Amino acid sequence: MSLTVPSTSSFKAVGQKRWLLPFSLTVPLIRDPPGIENPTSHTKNPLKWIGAIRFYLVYANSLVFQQHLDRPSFILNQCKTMSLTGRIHSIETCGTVDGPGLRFVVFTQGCPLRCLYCHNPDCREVTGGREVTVEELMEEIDRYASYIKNGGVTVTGGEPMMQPEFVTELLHQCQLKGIHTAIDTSGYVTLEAAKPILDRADLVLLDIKSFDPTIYRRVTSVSLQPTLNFAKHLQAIGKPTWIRFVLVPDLTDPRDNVAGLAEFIGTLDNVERVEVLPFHKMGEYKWEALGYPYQLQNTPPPTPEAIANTVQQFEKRGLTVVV
Amino acid sequence: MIATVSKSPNAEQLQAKEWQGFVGGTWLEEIDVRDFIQHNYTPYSGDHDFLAPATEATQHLWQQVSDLMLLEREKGILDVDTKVPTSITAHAPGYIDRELEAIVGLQTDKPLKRAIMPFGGIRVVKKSLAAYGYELDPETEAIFTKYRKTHNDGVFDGYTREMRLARHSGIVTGLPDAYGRGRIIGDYRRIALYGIDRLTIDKQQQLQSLELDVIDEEVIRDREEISEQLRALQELKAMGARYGFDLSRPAATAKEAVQWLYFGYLGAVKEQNGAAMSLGRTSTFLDIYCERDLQASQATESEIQELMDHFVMKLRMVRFLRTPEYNQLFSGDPTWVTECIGGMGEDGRTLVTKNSFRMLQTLYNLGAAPEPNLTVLWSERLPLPFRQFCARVSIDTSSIQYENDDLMRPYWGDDYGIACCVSAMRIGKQMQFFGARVNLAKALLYAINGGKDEKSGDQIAPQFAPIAGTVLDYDEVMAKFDQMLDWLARVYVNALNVIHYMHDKYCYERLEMALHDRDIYRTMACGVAGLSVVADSLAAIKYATVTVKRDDRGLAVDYEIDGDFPKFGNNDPRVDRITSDLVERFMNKVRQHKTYRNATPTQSILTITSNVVYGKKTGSTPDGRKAGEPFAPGANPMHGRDTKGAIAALESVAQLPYDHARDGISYTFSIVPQALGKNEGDRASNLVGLLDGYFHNTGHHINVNVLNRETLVDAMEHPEKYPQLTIRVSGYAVNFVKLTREQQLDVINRTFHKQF
Repeated sequence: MSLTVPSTSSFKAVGQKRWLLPFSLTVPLIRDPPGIENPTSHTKNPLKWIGAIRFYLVYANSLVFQQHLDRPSFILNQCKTMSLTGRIHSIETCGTVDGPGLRFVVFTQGCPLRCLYCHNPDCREVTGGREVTVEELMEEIDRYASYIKNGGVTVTGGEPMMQPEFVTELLHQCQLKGIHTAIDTSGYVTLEAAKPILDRADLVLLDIKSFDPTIYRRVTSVSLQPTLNFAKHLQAIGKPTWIRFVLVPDLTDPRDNVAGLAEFIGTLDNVERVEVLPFHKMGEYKWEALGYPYQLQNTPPPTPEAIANTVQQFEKRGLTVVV
Repeated sequence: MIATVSKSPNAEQLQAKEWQGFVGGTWLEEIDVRDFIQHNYTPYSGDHDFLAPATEATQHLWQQVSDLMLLEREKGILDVDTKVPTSITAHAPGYIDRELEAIVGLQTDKPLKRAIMPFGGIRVVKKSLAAYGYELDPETEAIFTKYRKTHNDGVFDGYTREMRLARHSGIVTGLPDAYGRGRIIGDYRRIALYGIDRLTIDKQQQLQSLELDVIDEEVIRDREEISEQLRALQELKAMGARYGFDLSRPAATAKEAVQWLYFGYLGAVKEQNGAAMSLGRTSTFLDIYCERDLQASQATESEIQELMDHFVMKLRMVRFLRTPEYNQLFSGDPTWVTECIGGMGEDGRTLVTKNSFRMLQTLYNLGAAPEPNLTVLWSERLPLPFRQFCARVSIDTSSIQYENDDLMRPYWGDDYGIACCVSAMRIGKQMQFFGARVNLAKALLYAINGGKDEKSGDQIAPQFAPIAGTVLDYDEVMAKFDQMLDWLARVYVNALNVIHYMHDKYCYERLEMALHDRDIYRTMACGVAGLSVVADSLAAIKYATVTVKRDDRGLAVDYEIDGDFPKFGNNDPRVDRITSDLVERFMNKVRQHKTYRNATPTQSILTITSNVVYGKKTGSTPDGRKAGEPFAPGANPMHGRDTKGAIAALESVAQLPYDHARDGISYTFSIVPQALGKNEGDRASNLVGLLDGYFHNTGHHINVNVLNRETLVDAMEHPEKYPQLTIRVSGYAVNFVKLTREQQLDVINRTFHKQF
């Protein structure tokens, strides 16, 4: 898998001088990009330059990351990639837990988060999965029209917001056919990039992994603020939203963390339900298969009491809770 | 069809006590139960809130029956009469607890005591008795060896060498040549509606209608059969009298209607141990009587529910004496007392009544159970509260199967029932010659090996050149496979002709056929097993590289696949087209052969649980399945190969052409509750959505299991904790704890659709 960048491409470090790529460049898309929190240092050294290019090319498919979220970094401008082609990990034709009714679920490939409890670690790498066009997916979705008429299509991942044009077009095509659309996201995205998608999404499933910023970073390796901004934006535009929270013993379960989250969500009047997802290890085998170290090996699923307590915290804020 | 008209009945008969309050119609002039239902039933579109729980009597009675069943499971069989060949009147009346039973009648004089039925074959009776430590009475044995020939003897007189070979090698299996063929549904409702005297007059007139100028073989056979039917009706009347009921007249109350109808069915299972002894479509018919009693305040809802509970309790107690091998093939003690619920009428009204709900409610009042084989005839137009209730019951009990009413109604009208698992037939107007199934996967291996059996090495099919190359070529394999199917269809249909000729001759279903019209539509119900194995094998040969491994006899015994290939169950047209073509191809070959009594050939894609045994007897296949590994049940994709989720698998199955598999296409769906939705409400509505979609897209049949894998594993280790744990297998349901360990493991290993 490689990507060719035309010689006219320009990019710059934020707040710094714009560089023009003096040659056409074909680079392999790297397997494991540096986390967005740890960008490769940029320098005038062309060799390190290439490292930086590689880093951005990885994210080139996703214009979301044109602008760095937390830190100053590079921007890749003219690298237009296949706009209506996306990378997906797989599809699930019998989705029943990602939005209302029976749903055709698209798992997109690539995620900027590195959640410790991730049950789809095989969706992380932006280079994995397979390429599909919106047309191909729509053709497939059409074949399930009679099943999803009271449900719809959900795009999850991975992080669907990493492929905004593709996902926007997919949701748009669904809506044209009267199919209900939902997007499942961590909210770790710029509002600018998210807006077109939100215009086409009837429902947002927003995963807030933690309310305590330190815990959030421990769980996901990224910062919390973009997600909070995103949640507030959803409220501002009145977007129907389901909040999801994974309850992990000794990680996300501190009382203040849950209470803080409940309080925050309680202020959002667009939230229709809160889903408390008890931690499970059903994805562990995937970590092993991928050769990733699984840190939660010894973490038990939450006790019924812990779940009940968490539910109660949300219900106290007048929220509808589903476990 | 000749409608036989009796001269006397007229509208004045509505004044008779039994028919008071009913609306008249042609049913008064002719034997026409459908017409009676259409004029008198009350569609119900409400919810389940009216339902009543089990009465105290029901609970006590069911406790007694449960205790007996527990004892039975420990002993194998509870008791058996080793001397008296059973008949409608052979045994004295039997009771569980006379004071408590609202509906009475047992097959023998004691509950769960089995009877011998030697007309199908004396060898199998002897063998079955021996297996449980009993000995056949020498005098009875002498009668059925010296003086009276059986169906089984007749069949083996007729079998050709080729048929014996095919049977022996297991390429044709499960043939009803040593036991009753079953899959015939008497219209037991006729007894309740008309009473036996009226039915007798009708049959006498049928006999008179056969006093023709030319009395040839066909007419003679018909005359003899109708005479036998008349005898059976009189015996049934006598049986009723011994229980203290006068079956000569119509039933006058709901209680009588249930009792009369049940006696009709009881007479049939006293006389025949057919492979499937199905009940038909009785709930909505009985609702007319229930509704009349409720309106007249002659019964309460609780009393009516008690009738249904006790009726169902009796249906759960039907027992046949069978060999352990038979039980191993079909899992436990199957009787296939199939009852159809719901459906839509041709006039657009739903056939759902309150009694449709009551029938399902028995699964709560008595707990889950495989029998009766409750079959919901689904339409998207069924009232939503009923669809939701069905889904809820499925989720709670895993005891319901669903079949597509919108698909079948154009073929069979709106008064058909299901025999066995998936075989639709117009009640009282149609029967089938049950033909079990052929092993398609073995046929593919025979094609590769030039007609030799891949296990024994014996030449079974006619000898022709085997495939010589190392890498399988799709066109070459298809050409040889097609030839092999020609041979298989011929030997198969001819064997069935022998079987059913002899069954009619030596083991005729007198009572069941007495509850049919004179002229009936007959089908020759063929079947195939191993569909997805063959489809995937052909897809592998076509889209990947399949290399043959041969043993020292030169037989292809294993295959190596290089590359990926599309697999059935992923809604992938590349392989789904191959699968549909297989169904049509074999059906067309079957259609080329003359059938006994000019029956219309049909086929089913159904295995019950025999997919395990079929797999055991079949060598490695080019799809990567290793020798001895189970096939997928019915029309299911192979285990674990459906990777796009449950609905993609449903779609692959839904596309199989019903027109070329009119005897039914069975799909078994197992899902963990959590994968169906977050809470009870979501789960039920998602299941409704799934069924609506599947049937809208012309799926024919689906078994729904909602179970946790852990529950099944625990039940394997601690069967005593789960006496009623029920799980649906292809077209049928079984007590999980009665399965062999192999079958239990197969069920557990089979794709449980779950997601996270």
